[in-house]
Amino acid sequence: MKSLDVDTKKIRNRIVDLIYKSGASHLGSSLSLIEILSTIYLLVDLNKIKDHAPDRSRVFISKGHGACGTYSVMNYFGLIDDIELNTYHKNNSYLSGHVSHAVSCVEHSTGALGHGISVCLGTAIGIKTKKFQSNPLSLVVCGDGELQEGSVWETLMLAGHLKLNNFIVFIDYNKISSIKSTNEVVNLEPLEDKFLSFGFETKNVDGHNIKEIYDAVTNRAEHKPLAVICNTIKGKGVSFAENEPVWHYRPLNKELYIKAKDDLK
Amino acid sequence: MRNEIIDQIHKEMKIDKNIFFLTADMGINLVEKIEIDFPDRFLNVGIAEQNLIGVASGLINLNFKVVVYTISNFLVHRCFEQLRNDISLHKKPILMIGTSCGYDNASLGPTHHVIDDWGYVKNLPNFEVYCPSNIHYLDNLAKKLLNLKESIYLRIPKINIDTIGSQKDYEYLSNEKYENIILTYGSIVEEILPLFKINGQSLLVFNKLHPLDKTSILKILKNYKKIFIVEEHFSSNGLYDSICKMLINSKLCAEVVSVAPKDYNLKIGTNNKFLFELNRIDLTSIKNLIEKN
Repeated sequence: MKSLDVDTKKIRNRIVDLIYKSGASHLGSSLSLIEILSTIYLLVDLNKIKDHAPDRSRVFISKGHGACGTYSVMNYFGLIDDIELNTYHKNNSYLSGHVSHAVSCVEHSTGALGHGISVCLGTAIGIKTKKFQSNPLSLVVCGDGELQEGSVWETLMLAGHLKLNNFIVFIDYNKISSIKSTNEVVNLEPLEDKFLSFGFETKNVDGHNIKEIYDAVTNRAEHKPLAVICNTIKGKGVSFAENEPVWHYRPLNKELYIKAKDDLK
Repeated sequence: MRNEIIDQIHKEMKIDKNIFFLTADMGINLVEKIEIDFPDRFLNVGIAEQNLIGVASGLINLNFKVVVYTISNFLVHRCFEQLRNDISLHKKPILMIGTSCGYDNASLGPTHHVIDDWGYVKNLPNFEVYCPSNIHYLDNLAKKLLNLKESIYLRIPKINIDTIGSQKDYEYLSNEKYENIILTYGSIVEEILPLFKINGQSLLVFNKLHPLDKTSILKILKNYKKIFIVEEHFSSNGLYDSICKMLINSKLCAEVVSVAPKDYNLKIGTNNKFLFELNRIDLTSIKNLIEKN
């Protein structure tokens, strides 16, 4: 049985440190995806990703604004070293505020929403065509606000039609879009029904519970794509940032940094 | 022309097992042979151009040579951000084939008039743009373009001019007794060709629109005092724009006159000739313009 132990508190501390030191934004979005992305890296063969093996699983962060969280999880799993990570959001760094393919082991640059998911579907189709014996997966993390983009539904429709069981979509359902509650902006509900009607198998899980997310993927159906609706909290772990839309934009000052670190002890 | 190029793609797919063909539900009586012969490397993604380019980008990640096909008026505008972010930014070479240019779809209305497409594409880094203006240019074109050193936008006119041309990126039909020259490309070449054949007017007909072979083109243009650029495309980012920049950079002095549509047209015609007249880019209007100048 594979160990699913991940020190998510350590990763969250790293995110808070980086965001404070760099004056960057997107704290809330980074903190909500930690367990989702950690589970993804537990599911795939990390050595193949490190080696850029042709038959590696492909991992996409379609919600590219979760860059600080993404890089911090990658660092935890040995895909980015400390020296590079500490350049985050600084002059001459490739570690931009949105996920960049200039960083090794990142498949694709994202930032404009509704892109990564289509590219991920392309890799799922390509992987099937190449008939790799290792059965790699194509996995993508989407934001819930991102689901307002029409291109997402073009992708979902085709994935369901093709019955691609190697295509796995994780929705970081933190219920907050850019400036307010996602479902106040445009109601996504009934979200699970939407995926079902597009031909997906769906799993509704606690997005901060690695075992639940892991089991959702390992126990998936054989002939359908999978949507894992991960119920998360934007800003998870930092009390003043939880469920507060403003932490999509606001950098940390010293006082709040100390408070955040206190929350994450 | 479109049949010829798709036949060539089909032939190349037999040889190169790494070519993947995507269509956005276009190409009736055209793409079926690819679907039948290469079912594993053919996919109709549906009428969804953003996803078309996104999926193409993913396939390129798997090292496929990807050909995407639809009609030109859908291939650039709807999915421009995908072309920018998922293709150009990543330096992922793709072959985009769009059929119809300018007023080829005259009667279908302004949504189907392709008069502002390639100018956007040329502004993307790592893209080349082709618009074959005679059928001879198509010889072995697919093989050449599938080298995919850069991304390619191939816009195919609905004409079959075979009375001029070769496999060169431009064709110079010269008459040096004239002080002026017309530069043009695409379907409107058919309209303009009598000016050379009957009147002996010098023409420079382009098959490749971007990037231009500056040295050899400037060598031709320096012989002329006045340059008329006739195109079924807005001049602001069309050939007029490219030539003006080229002349400014080379400090070559010539008067350059744009003969091009200035806006979208809500009126339609049964064929492109009506739209040429409406936009004063028809043969008679061009003749009159040259005479006045």
